Amino acid sequence: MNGWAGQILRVYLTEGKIVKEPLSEEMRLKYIGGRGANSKVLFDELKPGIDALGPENIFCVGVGPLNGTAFPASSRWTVSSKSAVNEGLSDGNGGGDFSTELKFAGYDQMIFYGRSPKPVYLYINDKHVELRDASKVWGKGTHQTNALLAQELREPELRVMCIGQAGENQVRVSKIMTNITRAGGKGGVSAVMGSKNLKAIAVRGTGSVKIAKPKEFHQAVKKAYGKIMASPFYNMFRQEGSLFLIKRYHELGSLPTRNLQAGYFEGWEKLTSEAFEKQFAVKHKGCSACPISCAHYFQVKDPKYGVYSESNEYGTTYPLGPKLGIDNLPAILHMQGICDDLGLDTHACGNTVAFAMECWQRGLLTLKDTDGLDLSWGNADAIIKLLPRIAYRQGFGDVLADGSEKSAQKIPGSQICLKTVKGVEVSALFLGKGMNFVQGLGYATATRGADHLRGGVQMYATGSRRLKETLGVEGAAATIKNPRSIEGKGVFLGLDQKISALFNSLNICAWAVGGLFGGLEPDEIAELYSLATGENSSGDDLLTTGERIYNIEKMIQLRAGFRRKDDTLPPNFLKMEETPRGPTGIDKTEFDNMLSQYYEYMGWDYDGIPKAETLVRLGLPDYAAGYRKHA
Amino acid sequence: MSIKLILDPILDHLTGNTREMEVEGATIGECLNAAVSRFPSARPGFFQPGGELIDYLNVLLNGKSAFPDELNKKVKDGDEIRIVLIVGGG
Repeated sequence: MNGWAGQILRVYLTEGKIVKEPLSEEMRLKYIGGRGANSKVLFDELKPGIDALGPENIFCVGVGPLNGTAFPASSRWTVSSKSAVNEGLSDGNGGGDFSTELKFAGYDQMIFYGRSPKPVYLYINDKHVELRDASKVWGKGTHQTNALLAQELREPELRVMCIGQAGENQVRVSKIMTNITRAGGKGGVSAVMGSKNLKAIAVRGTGSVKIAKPKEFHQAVKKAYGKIMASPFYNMFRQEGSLFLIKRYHELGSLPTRNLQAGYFEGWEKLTSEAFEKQFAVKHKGCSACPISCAHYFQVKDPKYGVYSESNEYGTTYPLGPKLGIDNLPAILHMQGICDDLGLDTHACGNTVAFAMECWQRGLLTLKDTDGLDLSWGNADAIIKLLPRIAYRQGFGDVLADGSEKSAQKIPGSQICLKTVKGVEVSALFLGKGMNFVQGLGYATATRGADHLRGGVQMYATGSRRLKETLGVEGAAATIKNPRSIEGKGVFLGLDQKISALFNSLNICAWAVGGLFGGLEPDEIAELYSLATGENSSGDDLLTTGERIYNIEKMIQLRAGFRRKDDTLPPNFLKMEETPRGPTGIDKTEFDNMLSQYYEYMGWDYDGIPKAETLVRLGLPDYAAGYRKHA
Repeated sequence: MSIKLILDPILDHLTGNTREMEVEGATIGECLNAAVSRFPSARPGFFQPGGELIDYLNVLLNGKSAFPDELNKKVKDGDEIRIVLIVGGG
């Protein structure tokens, strides 16, 4: 088989049994791999009403046909399960080189069932696959877990996916880690891994990925690398990584500040890429096959905040910085190191701490409630103490360990401080004067709850031609360049969501390939995909696949009971306000119109349920008949 | 005639970290070309190969969007042109 390894693993943890199976043709051709394959398994195999942290949940790890090839930035992996936060879908996508190693070992997907009677890890060494006792690493952080497993298996080239103490303790604001600092898992999938007593997956692969037309593929790869490296933003992104967004979002009035109470942060200049680079960056670090290498190793020498780690980025800086009113960069880097080692999600955990700090600001929490921690904005030293308490569920840390929405049930009057959609904290952006409404619509409708990565990210380059074809050149330009008008936003978002599903199923990097920096069009991606796999597909075919995957995920969300009323925004986003620094939020009626526009483009009914003809068009006739009855 | 041109922070690597400059021109397009004359490396950051404005740039004239037909919009002495990159995610 070309592209795909052609084999999956089903691991029955309760029984300690491992079954190897061929990857089905339906899965390859209709769902590709990664997020698509995982979501399909969850929709088909999960029983309704099960406990997300019980043995009946299913945990999937998926990679795609381009992982392990020379396709640029093809380093990503996807983990998925039923959400432990909102009962819908939880998934996460991370980088590094775990996915490459898994493909070299010969596997496209791993599906874990049941619960092991004792902590275990899965060891894969090419054809050899076994569950091993994890007692030596249970209770250990991600750094030690990596080191101890490499030592135990005498395998320095081992690649490890693991959880930290947070996941072991079924903390919902946790993440799954690979390469120690590469994280993924919105919605508590790390807690699901912990609930299964599965500490890690340790992989060594010595094979390779077969390419259908190697000569033509490598020519096309060279062209793609050339396009990425010719971008006028290539050097900037290589130098700054996603940290450039601190300055960018502050200027747009969209830097999430003090639990999304503002979009400007007075201390932003201390947190920029320039500040980081000048004081703490050591050298570049890249994921496999990436021509950009946007990450850095970094070191803080100040003994109070001392840390040596890697991959400081926007997604670690905003939630531990402006969102908490903290402008102390060494402290933020130190906190990132703590989160990575304990396996805490900087987004969900930082956002939940921000919720608690707003509770403090409003007098809803006192020292008595917080075990003596002063949660005033900017108090980094208190948060440094709080993070391990969350991971170990100690005292007040236990109150926050399940995310802000569950915490709010324990803090009287705190609903006003919640900034969530479907139980998931709004991450990354404030809906300020310069932010495109499409981002807000993305938060409201994304299939895993509030999601900053499924609301316009891929569109500016990868999707721009399709957007012009659908809305006309002027219409496309208008929807992009009039950020605070609802015109065309339904199409804008719908296209982006199809592309995001495609990218996460091929497991290629949205920033490097799809954002401003790579800008590969769907047709260019399809050419590379076809040459690698031998399955001839056009850009439109791949976008239809992305749409099919998105509809499967939408049905998982519907099965959890979510409807139109849940496709909404936090109250402070859902009102338009004129501030001295420009308008913020969106008018509710305008938002409703935008939502209807989006449903219509997606082929869904008024309540957001896919119409039968939509499912038939997407090659899902069985679901069209049965699912709608159930929905 | 002097127009103030302010670049998005993401573009200043193309102009040797110069974010603000005084330029001359009767239209936004002429002002951007004046900046390119001074900083030739900025051309691919502003214009597509055919000379059109790059899709994901927004041009604000005195704080208001100059869309549509941005490059042909007239400017006058003392105006401020701000180039903003459109971006999302994180």
